[in-house]
Amino acid sequence: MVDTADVVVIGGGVIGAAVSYYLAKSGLDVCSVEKKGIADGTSSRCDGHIAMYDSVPGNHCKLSKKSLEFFPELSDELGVDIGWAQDGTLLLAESEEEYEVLKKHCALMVEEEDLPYRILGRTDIQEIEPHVSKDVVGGMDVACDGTLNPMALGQGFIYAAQKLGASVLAYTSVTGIKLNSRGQVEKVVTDRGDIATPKVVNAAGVWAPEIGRMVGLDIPIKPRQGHIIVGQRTFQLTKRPVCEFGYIMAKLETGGYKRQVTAEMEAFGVALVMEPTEAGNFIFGSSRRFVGMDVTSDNKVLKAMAQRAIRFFPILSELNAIRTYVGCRPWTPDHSPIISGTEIPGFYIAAGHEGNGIGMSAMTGKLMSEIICDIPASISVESFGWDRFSGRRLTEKSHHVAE
Amino acid sequence: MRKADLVIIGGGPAGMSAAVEGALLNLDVVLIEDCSELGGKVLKKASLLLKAGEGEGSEDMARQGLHSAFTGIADKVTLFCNSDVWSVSSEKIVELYFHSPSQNSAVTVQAEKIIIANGAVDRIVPFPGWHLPGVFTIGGLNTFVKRGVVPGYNVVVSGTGPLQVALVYYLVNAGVKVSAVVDPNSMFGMAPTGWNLLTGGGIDKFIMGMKYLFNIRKKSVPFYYSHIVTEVVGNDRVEGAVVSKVDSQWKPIEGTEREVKADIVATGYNLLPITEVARLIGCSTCYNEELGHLLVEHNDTMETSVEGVFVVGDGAAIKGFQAAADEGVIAAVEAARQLGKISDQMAKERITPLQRKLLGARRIGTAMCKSARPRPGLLKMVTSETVVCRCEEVTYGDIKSATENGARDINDLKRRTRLGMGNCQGTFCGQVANELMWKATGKAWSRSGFTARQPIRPVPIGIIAGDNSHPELED
Amino acid sequence: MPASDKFQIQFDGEHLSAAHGQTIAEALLANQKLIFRNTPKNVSRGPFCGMGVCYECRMIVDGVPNVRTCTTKATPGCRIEIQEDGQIKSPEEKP
Repeated sequence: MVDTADVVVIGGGVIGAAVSYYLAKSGLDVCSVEKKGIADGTSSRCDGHIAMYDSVPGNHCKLSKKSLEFFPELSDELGVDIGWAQDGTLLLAESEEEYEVLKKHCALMVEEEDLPYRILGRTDIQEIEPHVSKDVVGGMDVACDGTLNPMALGQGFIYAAQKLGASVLAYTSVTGIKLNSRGQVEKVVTDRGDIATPKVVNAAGVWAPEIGRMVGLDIPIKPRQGHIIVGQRTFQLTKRPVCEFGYIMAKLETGGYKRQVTAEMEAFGVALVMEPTEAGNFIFGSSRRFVGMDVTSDNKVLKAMAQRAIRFFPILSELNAIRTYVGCRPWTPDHSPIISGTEIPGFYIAAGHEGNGIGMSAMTGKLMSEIICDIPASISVESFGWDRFSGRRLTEKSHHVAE
Repeated sequence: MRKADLVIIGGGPAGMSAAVEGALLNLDVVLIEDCSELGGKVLKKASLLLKAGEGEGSEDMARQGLHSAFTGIADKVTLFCNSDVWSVSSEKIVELYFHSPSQNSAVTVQAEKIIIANGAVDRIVPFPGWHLPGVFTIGGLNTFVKRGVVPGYNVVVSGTGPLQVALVYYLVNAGVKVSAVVDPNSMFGMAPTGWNLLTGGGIDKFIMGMKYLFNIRKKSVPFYYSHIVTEVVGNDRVEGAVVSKVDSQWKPIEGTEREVKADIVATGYNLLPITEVARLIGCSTCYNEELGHLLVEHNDTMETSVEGVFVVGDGAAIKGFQAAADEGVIAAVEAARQLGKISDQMAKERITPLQRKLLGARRIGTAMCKSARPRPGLLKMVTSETVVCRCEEVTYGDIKSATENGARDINDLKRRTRLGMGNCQGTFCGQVANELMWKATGKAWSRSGFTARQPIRPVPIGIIAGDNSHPELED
Repeated sequence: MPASDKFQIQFDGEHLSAAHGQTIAEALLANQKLIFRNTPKNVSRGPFCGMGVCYECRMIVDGVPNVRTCTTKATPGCRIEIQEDGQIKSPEEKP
């Protein structure tokens, strides 16, 4: 068991794994601690869709865009095949009204962020994806989006970090963080022993608030549950991921336009996301709701999701589902991640990526290593700063580990 | 949504007996069976095609008795054949998918009480070539043979358990050439089981077993005790089998291999209870060290840790059809008592003698399972190239590299290799994958099952969407 | 068995005889047909468990892929094809 490190990274999901890798690459002595297996939590319960299309102009979009540049090279760099494929995303608009909003969105993104977005008409869509319902009005092609295997990505980062000398403690729970008399991080306490370290990165995703409480910080990350249905291997249903444009509204809760959906779809935040997988299956979602850490599959949600998917792909009604899974996304009130130091010297946070953690992982790891090594950041990190929430201190400090 | 006092999942001996008892006690019963007819694997009504005879003695009587008892109450039971249960919630909402050539429909039933009677599957241990067409489970080949279908000319039966003897009996009666019966137990390996049969009230089973063996012997079928089929050879179907001698831990001994003529191979090591439904509802399970597999915990009236949910028959523990039927009755009586349809006293009078009768049957079942349980040495025949998860074509080599990279339990293994992600949802590979992880690492970790999730069986997405409700059941 | 209980089914262009009440898997096995499917890695598979659990006997029946033939009854004239898991055609692509 390791007993000292330059920096301890708490969390072995893709974010923690990426942070560990880039810190190890900067020459630091890294110890990565994960309470279960690598990429066991949210990282293994997502869809592996690396998407630009759900951003609006701004820093969030820049972070996604910058991250995207990493993936083509990453398999070679890590020595693990992450299954990267850049087939783009097809966005669907189900009504004339939605199509108008989509066209405006497309123009804005092309102008402000110089993205390869392209508006498609009804016949264009039928040509490239013939199983899409004939009544879909129009859509948009997002050529830069891709897919990868999130488990392989997480394990790849960890594998590469280990090769650079990082130690990895899987199936190890952090039970406390001890600060010294000056309030600086001094050691991480685990169920397998203590690790003396001046620096800790909290990359625990939906569990980040638990780790934050250990040093008296109240991190406003909430688990936002999502379901996915896995389809039986059959003919090729789509060649690329296909989503409804309404997804962006469901995700960002932006006002202005309201979809014509059932009360259940509204309540469960259901919006179509359909993806072919590397293994020849297809998977589809999605749902978004706040029900704590519950990860059991709920038939009411599955039903609404199936209805929504059939609305866009009528042929689905006859195809089989073989499995479902459920995960929790780390949601923040402003939909932006926290990639930042804090008022506790030596305590850093890299968490809160909601549904974009896989896509933003590489850049988050790089930024965190730049912050910790105190070198200029590749892109502006201002909007990911902890200071937007830093008033949030727990009143009692009883969570500190007693001497 | 349809409401019912009692929903019974599985129409084998346990489920049918529970339905008969429930109906007699005036419960509103829904019985769900995935096949087109009732009776389960053993007591299905024999087809006209059957040449091999409908089974012997007690089995035949039980079949007739069960089916005629059911006919007597059939009009009081809502029966769904050809129906897969794809979801059961802890609130006892049962979702099923009814399929026929002309109609697919969704049915939802809110149950007061649930009896899980979904039986067992063959226990397998992978070996090179076991994925080839022409290799069947012992139970699987038996199903076809009993229907008068024999897909080859030279059959090798390899494994353990009472089903093996029964299969060979049916095969020789059908006039099929059995090239070899291969059993890793020594010739005296069945002696403790025989003793348990004689002393545990299983004398009819003992007589049936002896009769089977006598008939097989008469046809001079070659028996290989202390041997096992370690490989099936062939390009795209079975072309032969390699038989090896094994040591006391059933480890194949190098240099003892010999090739046996075969175009059909049946393999299996008795049965494993199917536990998915119980685990999905949230019933507690425990790993039984003696039997080497997961069991759903239940009390002496077959009730699980979830109130009002019962588990009976081979799905609770392997012990054969007679005991399964008794357990079905006990659970139905207890369900009726809980619903106030029968007094405590009457329930007790009905249940107590059955409980007493079950003691011997359970002892025999346990003894048979123990003698049939694969011993650790058998895993030596699994090579890096051997397919373990048939659905996703995951090999033992893939399992080894996953454990080398840190996989610690089978859910972790699943994420890394796709093992268990296919159509059967790990039904055949889940148990043995635990053992193979031990083999790969030499470490003894706690065994686990895959996380149970709906759909339990593949189901059309239209059924999940609920867009085709069964017309007769609309309120 | 009376001749009236027999009927014909089509298997990859061949005419095979089946009996009333038989499942598709039973009918094929009775005709010594063992290969039902080829996996994505192009390895042949046939029925294994015989009870609808292993899904190894999936075939294309009357144009519909992934039909469990061990639990599906044969019907007169039904068209049965070996399922190539890696290259199943969508309904539109069919002639």
